[in-house]
Amino acid sequence: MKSPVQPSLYGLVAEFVEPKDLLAAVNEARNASYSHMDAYTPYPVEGLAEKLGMRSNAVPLITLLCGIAGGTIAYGMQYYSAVIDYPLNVGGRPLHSWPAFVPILFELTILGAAIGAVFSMIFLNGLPRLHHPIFETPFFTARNASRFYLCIEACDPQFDESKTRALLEKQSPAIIWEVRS
Amino acid sequence: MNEVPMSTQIQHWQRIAWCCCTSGFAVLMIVFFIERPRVMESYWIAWIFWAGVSFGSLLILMMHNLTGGAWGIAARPVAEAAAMTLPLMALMFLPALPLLGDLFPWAKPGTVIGPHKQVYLTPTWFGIRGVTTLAVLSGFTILLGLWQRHAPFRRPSSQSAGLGATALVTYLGMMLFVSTDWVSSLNPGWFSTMFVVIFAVDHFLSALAFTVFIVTKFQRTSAEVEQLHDLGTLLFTFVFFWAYVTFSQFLIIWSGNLPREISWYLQRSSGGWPYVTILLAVVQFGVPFVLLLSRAAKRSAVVLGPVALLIFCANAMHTWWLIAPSVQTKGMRVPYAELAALIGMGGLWTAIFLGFFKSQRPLQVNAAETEVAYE
Repeated sequence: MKSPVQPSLYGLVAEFVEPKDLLAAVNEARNASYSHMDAYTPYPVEGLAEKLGMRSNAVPLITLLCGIAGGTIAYGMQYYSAVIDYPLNVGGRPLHSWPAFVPILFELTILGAAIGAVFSMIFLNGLPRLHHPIFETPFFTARNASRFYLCIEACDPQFDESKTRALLEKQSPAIIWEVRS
Repeated sequence: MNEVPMSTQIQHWQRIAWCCCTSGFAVLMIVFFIERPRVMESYWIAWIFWAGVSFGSLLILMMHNLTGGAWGIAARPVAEAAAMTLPLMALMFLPALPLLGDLFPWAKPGTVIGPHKQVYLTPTWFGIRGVTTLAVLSGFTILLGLWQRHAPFRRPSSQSAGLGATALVTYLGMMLFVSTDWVSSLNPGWFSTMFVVIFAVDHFLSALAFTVFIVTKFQRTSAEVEQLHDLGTLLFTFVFFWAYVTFSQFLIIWSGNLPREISWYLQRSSGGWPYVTILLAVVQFGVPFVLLLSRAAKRSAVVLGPVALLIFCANAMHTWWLIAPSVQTKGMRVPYAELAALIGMGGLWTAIFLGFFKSQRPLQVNAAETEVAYE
């Protein structure tokens, strides 16, 4: 149960002026075997995602599966209606006239894959979400949008408030802030 | 690593190419005395395919002039050397002119093909249209080549983009005429408005597959993963586009089911050709499509090279499929002469290409130029 008086610690966030300082700090934290951390930057920093341990995600696989599902539904629906449920002789062609099924097969495969890609991306990112503890950080505003932040989260098994603070301080950040939620 | 120097490797391949050239054309010479009409057919398939690779390389250059992009750092040197073979392929068009009667029904004496077609499809006009097209495209090749020698990886300027756009529009306009002349007119009664697109996509796809294969073979160390990824994505797109245009022509003609249109597909659905059709769908679309879906495959030279080679060979098969069934109306024949011609013409083409490729200055791009290319 969260106490309304003393909010629990969400993590420690350190502010850096240069992206290379942030990368160095991420390296250091990974060497100290932290795994629950996140970086916040004003623009994509090359190599950062890999360093944070984001090697692969489920989006491509979900996209593929949704595409296959879309294609299967498209073909199955057409086969069922044209061959089983309502067989109709069109120009003397066979009931199972596959060339005519291909455009819909193509469209629904693309539709399925696109929906899968967009929504899996949104949900795997943890969205929709109205609030995030990091918003509590006072300097985390548009005014400071040119700075780089590393947050080591309290749910990390390695997390220890004083030790983690010491590790971050060694990287000489501009500021360290406790994020509470 | 005891790596053989690249110039030695290229010389080795150039020797093999010349051997292919002489043996291929020697076989064709023998066939000339046994089965004369077969020679023209085989020569024509080989010429259409290999000239298509030259046209397609020009297309790649024009497109890169318009769009720019880092993939050009790896692809441009290859495509430039490949496009430089275009004037040679233009010359190889000329030996076919006296033999048109061996191949095209309208060129055979005493064939009646209708009042308007009779005026358009004559050997003289065929020659004039072909020579004009090849002369103009050779001109563009030389212009683009000279242009690029000054500043290989410059940001696409409005001038180089203008040249690219002009060349692209001209190319498509001319293909409209020559795709009819060179391939469609084998069935003088048949026409399809989609055919010119299929013809042009074939050129682009074969040239792109060739370029990717050469990049993975000779520039494995210098080509960056990001560039390979871009090239793999382009290859994937055009494999799909190829399937899209070839299938939509089929779908429209199949739906209409009119005798003068469907006859073209009926020629390709009897006497052994259905197997080629299915094989074509598998090797030029199915296999590359599934393999190139994977991001890891697109970023690996070890996978991308063989896939590109497969697409390239499938493209040669597609050219054979476009031409031979219209001629071999009594069913498919063992394609020994066609294969000999493809190898002979291919040997000549590759030897000339490697000559140009060897003399390309080594690919050394500094960081600033890479930065510009990535913009």
